[in-house]
Amino acid sequence: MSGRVLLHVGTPKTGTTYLQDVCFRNRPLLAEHGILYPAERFDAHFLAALDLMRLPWGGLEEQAVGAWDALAAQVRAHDGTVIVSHEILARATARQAERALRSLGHGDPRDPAEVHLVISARDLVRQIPAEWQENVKHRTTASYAEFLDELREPSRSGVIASWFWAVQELPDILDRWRHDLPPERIHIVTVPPPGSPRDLLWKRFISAFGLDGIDLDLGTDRTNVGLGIPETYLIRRVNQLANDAVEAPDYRELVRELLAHRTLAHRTGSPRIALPPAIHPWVSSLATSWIDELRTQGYDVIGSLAELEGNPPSSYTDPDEPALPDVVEAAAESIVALVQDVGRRRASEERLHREIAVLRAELDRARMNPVHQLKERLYRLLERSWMGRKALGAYYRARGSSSRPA
Amino acid sequence: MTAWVEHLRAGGTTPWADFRRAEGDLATPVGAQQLEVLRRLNALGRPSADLVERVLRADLVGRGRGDLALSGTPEHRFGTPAVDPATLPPAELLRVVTGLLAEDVVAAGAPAPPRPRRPRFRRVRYRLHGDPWLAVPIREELVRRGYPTGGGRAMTFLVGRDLGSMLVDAWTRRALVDGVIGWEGWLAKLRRSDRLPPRADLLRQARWWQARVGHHCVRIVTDPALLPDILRVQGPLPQPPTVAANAVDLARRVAPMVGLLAGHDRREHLMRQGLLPLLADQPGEPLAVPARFRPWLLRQARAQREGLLAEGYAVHGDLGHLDPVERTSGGGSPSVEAVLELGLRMLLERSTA
Repeated sequence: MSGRVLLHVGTPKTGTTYLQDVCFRNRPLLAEHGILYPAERFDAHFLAALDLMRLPWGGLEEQAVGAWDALAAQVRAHDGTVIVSHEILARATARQAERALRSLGHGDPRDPAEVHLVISARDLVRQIPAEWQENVKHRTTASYAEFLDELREPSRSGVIASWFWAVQELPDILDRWRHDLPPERIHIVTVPPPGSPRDLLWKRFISAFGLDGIDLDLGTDRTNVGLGIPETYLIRRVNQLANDAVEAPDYRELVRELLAHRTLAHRTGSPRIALPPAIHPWVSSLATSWIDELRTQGYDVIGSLAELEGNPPSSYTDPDEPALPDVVEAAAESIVALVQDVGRRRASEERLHREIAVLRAELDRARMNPVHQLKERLYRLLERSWMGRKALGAYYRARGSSSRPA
Repeated sequence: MTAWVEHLRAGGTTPWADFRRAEGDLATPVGAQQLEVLRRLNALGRPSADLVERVLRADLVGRGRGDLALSGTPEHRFGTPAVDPATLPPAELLRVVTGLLAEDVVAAGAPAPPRPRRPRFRRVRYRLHGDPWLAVPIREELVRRGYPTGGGRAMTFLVGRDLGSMLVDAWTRRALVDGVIGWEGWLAKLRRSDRLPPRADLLRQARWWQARVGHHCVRIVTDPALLPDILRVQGPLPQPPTVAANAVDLARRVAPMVGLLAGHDRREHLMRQGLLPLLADQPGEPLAVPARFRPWLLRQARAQREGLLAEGYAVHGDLGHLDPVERTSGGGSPSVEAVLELGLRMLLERSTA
């Protein structure tokens, strides 16, 4: 190839799911414009990232064997622009990042690709609460206070902190990923502050990925949705009770999807999780040091680095001490949603039972057929002897099928 | 490359802190985890040149911190703070070791299963389930000898043994085949939810089969040694190996990486036929249910026995054999330090084999 590769490596909670969904659903249209989004399934780049980073993920990794090399081969075979995007790539080590860049054609002496690194970034004032909520939706039982304590622990050795900083600390992520890319090929897309026009982030993505002038279908239901304080508290309580008793597939479908995403996320009137005011000075000093570093490196910025500073929250409610009537209300809505779901499943089960009864009746009628009965008797007779089994084998071969009666 | 890396490449074992004081080494391109693993390998034996290079290039598998810088090297303003590698917890070093072992398991492959012989005409029609650690190897051997499972009016035999061993068996099989949390955490979770895992719960399995094949076609076998007579087969049937607790835990940590490198379809075969024979040779205490879980275990065993009796399933052997055995010697839980040492020794053995 001699084209461009736009490699989007994070960070989580910055509109990445929306971007990926738009790219996935518009693959044919993008192809008409010479842009390849190489994915057979929505999570193809996620699997490739698991493979690249050797990251087990609740069994999903077993679907990821060779996924990165397959993705890289598709990228190299395309003569034009290619988009690769997944936010967990932010966690790659420097060596994994170098391997990824090389596999995509960066530095290939025969046919080098022009690799651009894109990273979308949001201020920590919003990222910290969002990441805690995401942890809760992934079965964490840690309270907000425990989560914040772990983030501030200097060694970052805990499960939560090691992951959080690996995928959120912008200067470190770019240090690991930039390798020998010139700064003008590294693009930082900043997430606009609250109150900005709704489509401003998308416009920035369009600019970063060169999607101007393409009439993309933007409809999507794959956006990650936020929960309020009572709703997050409820899910955390569910985790405390369900972690020992609910298997992963049931949790994914019923707790995360049905309860969190499809039910509780619609309760938009609840107070939102925010950064505690006492933590803000620490976060602010981190943000300042990050902005200074990113500015010094001279990366291309789409938006403004100043947006990474974040605004201190105007009000704060402790997510570990929610108003219990609100939690009860959220629980009641959850029960209704679960009852409705059980009702749908019962209806489906009854329909299936009716279908089974019809099929059984048909089977019984077929068995009453004298020709069928004769065939069955003959088959049993032949199965009893070596010669008979040979004859059956010859019959199957002559019929051209290897299938055998059950 | 820094002097300490070269020192380790040459078989050195001096800890980083001592070396830095002596040499004033400044920077290194390799992570502290990989370097500490190499130092420990050097302390245990003489790794081949190939293994040394593999360790230095090794990825850190699974969750945790990224490649860590060595303390005393120029401070990075960002990223995880530098460490003295000697202080790294064993679990962090196991991220290097298990990745390398998984590569070895996948590269070595495993012998293909032998072709089953033609089904015998005269045979007992059977299904064999229960404790899968016991049942699966026996079933595979029976199929190989010409005794396929199923068939008209097949009897379903659920084989088990004392409940403590069945819990060990269930966790061992999950460690190799499916993935599971640590031994004591797993037991604690079962105790909290007050239930047995399906693979160790003969009563639950009996009910499941009863609903499908009828009560009269379900039989409990309390001792696998009874199976040759029951099934009328000649010769002994295979017994599963007793694997040391640390070896099972090592398998548990390697298995997800084998799945990631080889895929779901090959994982079980590689783990059972490739890695398990190597682990079975490793010395060490076998797994045992810790004493603090004994009251719960006894209660579960009593409930299981009473349920099987009350529901009237036919039994080969004595239901009392399903009661937990009081261990008079040996047995315990894995220790992460010992698991790390076992992993390092296996890497060394394979590098010199």
